[in-house]
Amino acid sequence: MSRERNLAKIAESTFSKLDKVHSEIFTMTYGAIVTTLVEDLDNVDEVNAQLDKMGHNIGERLVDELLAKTGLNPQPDMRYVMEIVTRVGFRIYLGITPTLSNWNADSTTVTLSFRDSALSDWVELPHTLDDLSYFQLVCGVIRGALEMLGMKVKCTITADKLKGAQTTDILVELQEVMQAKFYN
Amino acid sequence: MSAIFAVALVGPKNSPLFFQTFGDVVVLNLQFVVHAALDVLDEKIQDENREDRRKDDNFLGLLQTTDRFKVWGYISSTFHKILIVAAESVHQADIKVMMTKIHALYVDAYSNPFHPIGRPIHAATMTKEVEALATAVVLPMRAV
Amino acid sequence: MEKTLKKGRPDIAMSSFSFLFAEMLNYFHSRASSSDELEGRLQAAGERLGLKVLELMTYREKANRKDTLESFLSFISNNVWRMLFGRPADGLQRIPADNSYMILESVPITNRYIEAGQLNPATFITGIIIGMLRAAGFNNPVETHVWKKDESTNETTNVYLVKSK
Repeated sequence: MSRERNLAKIAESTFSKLDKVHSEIFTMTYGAIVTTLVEDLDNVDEVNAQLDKMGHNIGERLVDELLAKTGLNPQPDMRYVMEIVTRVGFRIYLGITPTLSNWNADSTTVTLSFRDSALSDWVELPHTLDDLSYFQLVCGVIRGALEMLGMKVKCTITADKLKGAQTTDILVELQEVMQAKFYN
Repeated sequence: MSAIFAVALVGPKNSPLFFQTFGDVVVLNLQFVVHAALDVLDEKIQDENREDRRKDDNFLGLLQTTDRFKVWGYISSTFHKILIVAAESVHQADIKVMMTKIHALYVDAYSNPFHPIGRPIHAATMTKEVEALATAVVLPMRAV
Repeated sequence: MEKTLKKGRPDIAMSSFSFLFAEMLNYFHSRASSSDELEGRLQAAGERLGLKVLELMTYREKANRKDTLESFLSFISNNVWRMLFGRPADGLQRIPADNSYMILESVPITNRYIEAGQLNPATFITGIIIGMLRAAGFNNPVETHVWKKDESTNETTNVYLVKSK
């Protein structure tokens, strides 16, 4: 079986055993968090930074659970790990499977793309918040998760569906392979 | 001539939330028409104890009629009101369908975390979609 | 319009919500100078959500206007609870002595997988209830309690106490 189909099967089988929620409570809680931050903090850069930090914390804990529930135990191989992130991680935790595209020659950078998600249902950015990066949390999650797997990456949102793009694109760039925080 | 002249959405205390006109119309006149129709709507829902009106019917039917236009009303269970000013010959069935869709669009706009509750809706999507709904309604052919 | 008209979005793992909620708690904790303030902010976040979510819930359920507090609370503890949390609340009871109501819930999703010490994370849900009440025109105060299910047991349940005005 191809690696992709194998991961998809693992995703479905893991998901079927987990407690689930309808997406609305998640969507609306995230909306409440973002609007609270916008009110609390002085400028949009601070909001983006806070979302990134929250995402990073979530990513570290989430990958812990993901590996435990799926039994997966990947080496710091960027290609395989990003497949797990999109086909298993995103599937289970956000209900979508982003696409991966534009891998570079040595498989150290890739673009992850998705259209809609449980994070941004109903969201329309007001013009006063043009620089708000609503998906910054996702960047933080990817960064935090990959760090726990031994890869230090940089995540940048290169296109934002809430700002008129067709898809939301996140550029993931490997900076350093470290010793994994998990041991086999 | 357009079939739909205006769409208005109003909050529980009749605070204006959305107002859009279509075609070659005099906006001020339509605002006046909507205001007057709101009074009729409010009276209609006071009459809740009437046997012939089911309390769970959101569609309130015809509020006002002249030889040039009709005003239709709708109230949600959260007391938000939709009014449509339409050409005199437009069928009730078309209006009813439009009301339900406008209600859905309003809920969409409201569910945006950035939309401040009780304030007028400026969502680009709502404006665009309501216009699409309004222009989709066709004037019935008149028998000659 | 599709999202409002029908639920097209697939379900997600409950831990997504728990992770997000825990981060929200952390954030409020880092900025609160007292546990009262922390609780206040958590409840306020829930109210923000509750004010908005009522519109969606009544639209989806094609619910008619609820004239009495009791019928509205029944709608919340049944229909809204099912849509937000996947199942109805454990119960709705009236306390005749002071005409208040209790919505009962043994394990709110806010309390699963979360260790929050002194604070009851279900205060967030209390906020949601308050938001919905206000949106529907009811002014009743609501409190978060943890009470024993009955005298003979140490089992507890969360109680969202809706007091008469």
